[in-house]
Amino acid sequence: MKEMLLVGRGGEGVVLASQILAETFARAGFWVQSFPEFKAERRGAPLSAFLRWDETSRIHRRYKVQECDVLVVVSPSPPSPELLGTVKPGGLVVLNREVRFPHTGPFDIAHVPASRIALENGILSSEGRPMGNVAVLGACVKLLVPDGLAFLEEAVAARMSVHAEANVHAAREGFARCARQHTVAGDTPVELSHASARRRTRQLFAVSTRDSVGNHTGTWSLDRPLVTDECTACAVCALFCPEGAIAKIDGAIVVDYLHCKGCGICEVVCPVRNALAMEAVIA
Amino acid sequence: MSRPLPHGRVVLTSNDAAAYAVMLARVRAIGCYPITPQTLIVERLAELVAGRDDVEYANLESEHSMFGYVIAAARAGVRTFTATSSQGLLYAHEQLHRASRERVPLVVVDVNRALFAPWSIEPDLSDSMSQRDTGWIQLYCSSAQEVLDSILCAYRIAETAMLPVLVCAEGFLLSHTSEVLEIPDQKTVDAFIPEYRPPADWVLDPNRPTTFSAMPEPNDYYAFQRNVAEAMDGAHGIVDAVTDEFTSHFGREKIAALELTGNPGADTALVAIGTIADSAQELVDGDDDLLVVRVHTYRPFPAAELSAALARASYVSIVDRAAAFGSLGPLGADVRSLGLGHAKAAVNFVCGLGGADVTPATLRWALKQTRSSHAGEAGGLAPVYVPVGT
Repeated sequence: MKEMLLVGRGGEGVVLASQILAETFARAGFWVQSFPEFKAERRGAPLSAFLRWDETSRIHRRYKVQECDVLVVVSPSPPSPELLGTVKPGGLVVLNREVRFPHTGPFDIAHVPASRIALENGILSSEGRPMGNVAVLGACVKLLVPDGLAFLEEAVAARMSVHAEANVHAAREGFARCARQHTVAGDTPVELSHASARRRTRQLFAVSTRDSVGNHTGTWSLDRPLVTDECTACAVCALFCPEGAIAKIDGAIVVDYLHCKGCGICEVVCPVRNALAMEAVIA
Repeated sequence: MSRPLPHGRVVLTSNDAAAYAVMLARVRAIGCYPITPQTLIVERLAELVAGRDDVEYANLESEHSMFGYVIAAARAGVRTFTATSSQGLLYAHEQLHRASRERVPLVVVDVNRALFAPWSIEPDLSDSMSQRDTGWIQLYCSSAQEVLDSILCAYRIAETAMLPVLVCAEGFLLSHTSEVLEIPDQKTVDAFIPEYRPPADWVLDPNRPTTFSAMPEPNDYYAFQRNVAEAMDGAHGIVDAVTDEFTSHFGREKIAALELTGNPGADTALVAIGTIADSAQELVDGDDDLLVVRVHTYRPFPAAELSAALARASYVSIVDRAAAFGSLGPLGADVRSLGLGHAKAAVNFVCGLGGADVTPATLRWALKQTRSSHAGEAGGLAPVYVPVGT
């Protein structure tokens, strides 16, 4: 039996991706099981989905995947050391990236420009973000069941009524455009943090039992604002921040990253050129 | 207008499997009030009944009203369905007592979810197990296939016993888990589940005005309660007969009161319910001296079958995924009530509350604790709460 951990954000289609992949494996003759882990469902909050598959017998394990053979990062963000620490030695990491991941570890790494493929095929969320989930599946199938592309296409067509055609195309593109990395000079080893998966699941959703300030909702953000030297501390951003996460303290703008959800309103309302820019946060 | 149901080998969640089973059973009235993790059942049913005029789909203002609705519909001679979880089931608590005492053959799915406080949407069995004295037959599932099969059997059991049946499936671990299962075709199901025909003098009929459940004399009230108790006693045989017929009709393995795996003559037995017993299969593969007893029918409690299954076990670990504060866990208390005088130790463990993982390591820990108990320490009167992360 093999075990897969898929990670991403609410709204990126991670759970749907795990179900499509389960159906693909089933069509390819495997016994499968997939299930999501989300707490109170929130768009943008980190979530995981699990997939188990076995060639010969029904899957009896009824608990969350703790160490995985395959880690799939659906979000277009690099994986954290904690996440990479859940991959078994000799396992596989599949990343949604246009360029190679400049690190090495005791596992294989593959990358697929899934968000780029989604953009090319017009597969966008309601906020206009590219949905790379199905293109990532194309890569997974290429790497795990190389003769299974037809099964993936069938599963995508069966599960995605409205956008089936574009997604079937994205699946094919993901299959064709995924690349297994070879280590090159300059790659640095990732500092693995073998925090147990149990710790991972506890940290997944930042909820304080004490007070709402302890709810570190900033851990959900995909992007975060960086204030540059050009900032005049006019504090328009602080005025508009819906989370109250920006303040003018001692004449300077300070962002509270523990509570900033990365909505980007500050960047839009900032009247000063280059005073504030959004940067991607790691998964 | 009705959409064809899928059949054959499919990949579905238990929530989907439940919805398809309900459609296959030709239910005519569905009461609905959403609650995670059950909501996807009634959402799927809403899609399946859209545009049909032979099924009434009612959005009610609460679970209490929802149970009132299905009780009334069933009494009017219509096959019904509803589903709920956690607080929803608790909110309907007084209707549960009413349904069994009025002998209403409801089939309800409870997608097990932990109880407030604090809030959790993750699985444990405290919601349905705390309803064990309400007079409902309770079936606990461990796979999507079993959810579908149990619902089909539940209609036959309920309508034969004239008692309500609660089909329980753990949230997320089953409700949201996609897996492989077989869906039978409509013709095969029709040959198994006949039309719903409750006793004519029990059915509400405006042409035959009758008063039901008004305030009787104490001795008559007492007789009504004994009537429910006798119906529950009779349900043992009905569950067995219906699952027997299901097995031959659908060609599937029989799961009636219990499912036994491993060595029936083993010195060590693990009694569990729901998905914990499924995860325990991994232990059976590497341990010749282990019998895993999965309780499928929890009410009526299969005392005779359990006594027989545990007759040769010296060490019995009873694993609950529910809390009953101030006493043994629900399953622990029930199994210990069997006496088990021959056993050297029968220890009750509570674990997995609020979705805490129960892994083979957790169960190995429980078995080790039980095996290291000495003769005479048959297990205390309080359960052992397994440390988190074990």
